[in-house]
Amino acid sequence: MLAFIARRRAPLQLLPAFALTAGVFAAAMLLLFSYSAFTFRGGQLTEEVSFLAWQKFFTDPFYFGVVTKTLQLALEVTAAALLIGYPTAYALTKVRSAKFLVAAYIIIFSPLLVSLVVRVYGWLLLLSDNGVINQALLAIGVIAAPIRLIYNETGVVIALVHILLPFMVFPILSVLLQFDHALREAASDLGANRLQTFLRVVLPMSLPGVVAGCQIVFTLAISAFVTPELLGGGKVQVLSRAIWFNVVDVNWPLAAVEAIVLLALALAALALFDLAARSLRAMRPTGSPRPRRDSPGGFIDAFLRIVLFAVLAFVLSPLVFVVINSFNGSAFNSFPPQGFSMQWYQFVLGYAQFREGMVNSLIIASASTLVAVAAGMLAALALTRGGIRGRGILNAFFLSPLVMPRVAIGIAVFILLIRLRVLGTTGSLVLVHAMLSLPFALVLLTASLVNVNRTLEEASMDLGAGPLRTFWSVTLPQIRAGLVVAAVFAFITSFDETEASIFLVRPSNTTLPIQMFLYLEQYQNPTLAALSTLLIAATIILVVVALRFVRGAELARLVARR
Amino acid sequence: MSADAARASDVIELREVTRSFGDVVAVDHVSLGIRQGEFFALLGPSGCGKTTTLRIMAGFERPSGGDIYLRGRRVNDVPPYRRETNLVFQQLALFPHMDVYDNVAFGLRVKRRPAADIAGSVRRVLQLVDLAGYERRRMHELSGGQQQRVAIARALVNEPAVLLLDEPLGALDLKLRLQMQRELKAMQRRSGTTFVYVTHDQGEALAMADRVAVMQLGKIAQLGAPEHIYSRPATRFVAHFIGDTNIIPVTVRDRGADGAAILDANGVRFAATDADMRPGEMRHISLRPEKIRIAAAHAARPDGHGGTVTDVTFLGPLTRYEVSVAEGLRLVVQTQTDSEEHFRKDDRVSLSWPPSAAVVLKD
Repeated sequence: MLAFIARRRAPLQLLPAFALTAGVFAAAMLLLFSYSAFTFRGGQLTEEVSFLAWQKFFTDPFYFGVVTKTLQLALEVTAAALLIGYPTAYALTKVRSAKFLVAAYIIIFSPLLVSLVVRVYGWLLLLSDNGVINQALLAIGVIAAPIRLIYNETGVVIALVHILLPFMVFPILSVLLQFDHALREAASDLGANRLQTFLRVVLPMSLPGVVAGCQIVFTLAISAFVTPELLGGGKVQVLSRAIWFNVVDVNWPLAAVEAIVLLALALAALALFDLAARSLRAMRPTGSPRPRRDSPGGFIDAFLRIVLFAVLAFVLSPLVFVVINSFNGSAFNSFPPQGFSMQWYQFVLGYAQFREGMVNSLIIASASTLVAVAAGMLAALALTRGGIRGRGILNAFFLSPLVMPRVAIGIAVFILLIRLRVLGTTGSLVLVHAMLSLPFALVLLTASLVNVNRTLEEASMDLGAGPLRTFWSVTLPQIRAGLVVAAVFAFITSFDETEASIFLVRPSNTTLPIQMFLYLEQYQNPTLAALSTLLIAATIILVVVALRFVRGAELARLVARR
Repeated sequence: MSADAARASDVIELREVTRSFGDVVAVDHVSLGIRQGEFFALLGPSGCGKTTTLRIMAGFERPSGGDIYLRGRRVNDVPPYRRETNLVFQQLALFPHMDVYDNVAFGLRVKRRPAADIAGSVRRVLQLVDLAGYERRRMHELSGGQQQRVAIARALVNEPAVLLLDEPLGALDLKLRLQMQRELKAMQRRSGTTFVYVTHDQGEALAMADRVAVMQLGKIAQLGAPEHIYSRPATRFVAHFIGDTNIIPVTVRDRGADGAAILDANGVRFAATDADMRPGEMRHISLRPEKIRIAAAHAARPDGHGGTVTDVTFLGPLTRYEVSVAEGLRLVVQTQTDSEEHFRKDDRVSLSWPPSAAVVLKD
């Protein structure tokens, strides 16, 4: 009956999400396609239809080099993330202390919660010539002169691996955690030792997680912009940077072509990984798995533990040194810090651009979270119970902004907003951010709605509660955790959004991460460390508060299930 | 009684109700009336359409065809939250985020009854189900039987015209199930509420119900009092489903002077009182194992049929024999365990039964 009621309202419930994705995202992408056929000649953009931009892109060897570099960088990052991520995930399955496990999850997840610019800044502190690593190596006499770790590809790869590691670890971990321990026992019963069991049973069966992890990491790595821009020293010439420079030069047709190529690369990568995943599907375990954490012991486990601690240190170190540097007495990002000082905090609080950026970011993030969660909730309801045809296609449509490189979205929306004459308005930024957050909200809310016990809703309606009352007093309490997580995700997505927004802001409504990006391009002093420390503290508070919500709800549900 | 108006004595009436899901017809032209105050059981194997029938009564499924009347009013389009029915769910569906009191009070709160009334109603119903003092318990702090009673109280407190129960005892262990059967029956008598009870357990239906509808493939195979359905099953399916029985294919040989028919099963001839058969007709009869008398071959009655014991199963108070009577005719016999007279495999015995024990089936 609930389904019946939802069915009649399903089209209406889909409307907000559809308007957001179609009106902002799809319209902008279509416009981008059409702009790739316009002409840029002698520093002037005309609407004359030609394919000069396409011609230039595919004949100039420079762009071939850019594409090669982009793919090479993404491959390197994916390989490195896999090499670090797999042992990390495997080590996590052996952790027995629940508290340590939660801490490790949060630490590995933390790069996603901290602003992109903050993370990049942390790596600047660690990797630069007078940064932590070089100074430490010099001090113990391993090297005589600083080695170049930054403003080249090495630095970009390190920072990207750091940022994308959680996307590799969690898919692999989730597969490993579902591993049927009986299979391991069967292998050992059949005479396989631990290494053979791992190589012949565990590893092949965890490949779906590996493919999923590589898919996400690769797709995100080919479109990264801020990291290669700030850490590459102009030497890491990837597509996203080419787009940025062409936009600045008003050569939009060429930028459009580059964005389309980037999009094609992302889709091709997705399809290839999907193909790989499909060929692995036959390996899904049969029967209900019997998970068990291995008892620790032996050389391998000691090694795994070392790996885990090293990875946790790797993940945390940029943030830790950001915090340390914020109290640096010196005006340079020198290490070790010279004296203790609060001057950078004073400077941050007095710096008008940061203050305004913070206010703008808070307004835009709050408003776009509200829009994204509301639209996502309605769409999730319609998709999970509306009984509408073409659910798969609609879902793919709503999720499509996720696969699109942020830089490509940025330039496409930039052109759209100019045509609509609303570029730089706060309202337009709210809608764009809501569009970018919508896929996260939709996925999380759909997942929680699917888990809702429908019989409870029926019980509520049987007892006389109408659909609205039932949603409020029976459905909502069950999805509270999902709702909180969706809101946090949407808020952070908007608050940290840099790579698309950089095309869209005006000085009057520049958001905080973009102010930080601009500042970092010009200055190198601990001001940003102080600001970053404040942001990290705010994020910790937000996560702790959110966890409290989630834990209470989850706990109640877990206990009830038992 | 006009054809259009629902019978006044029926709380719920289904008229030619059909419900199909795609090509599958779950409920196929079912008509039945449930009387005020009775304990009615819908009995059948899984997939027979009994739960769908119940969900149609509750309002969770709309009939694809036919009409459903609740207290004389057609309710095809009335959603569950506007029906005077309440359902006790198979999986109980207790709200885990509420305590006992809040669960039971839910329906009354939704109807915006004054808090004082609600408190009184909840107290009374919790007394009825023997849960007074458990108001502030959470669902996970209750035993299976207690959760069961909360689910019943939560439905009963709304004073529904009909209480619908969807195999609510299925999750309980045998001992608790038997106890809850007695308690349910007692609650039903005390509250005077009409109960419609869905189950696949024939013992449960026979023990509790005033009337039983046996369902098969979306249709009602037979409807009547438990004793009647047990002693006079209408079809092979019903005879098999309710209790243990011998289904014997027979040919009608002759009609006796007293109106009884003379039947032939693989050369074994016996009488059946059931009329309405023509000589030469092929039918099936049901012969309950406990209706058959077993005796030693030397003590055979004149109407006895000789046979050989092929299998003996000791069931405690009862003993079950399999006896080969003729080529291809093997009968199951069940007797009170008797220390005086028991038989072993390969013993020669004589079986006999009264003509009334052979129930001629429709199919």
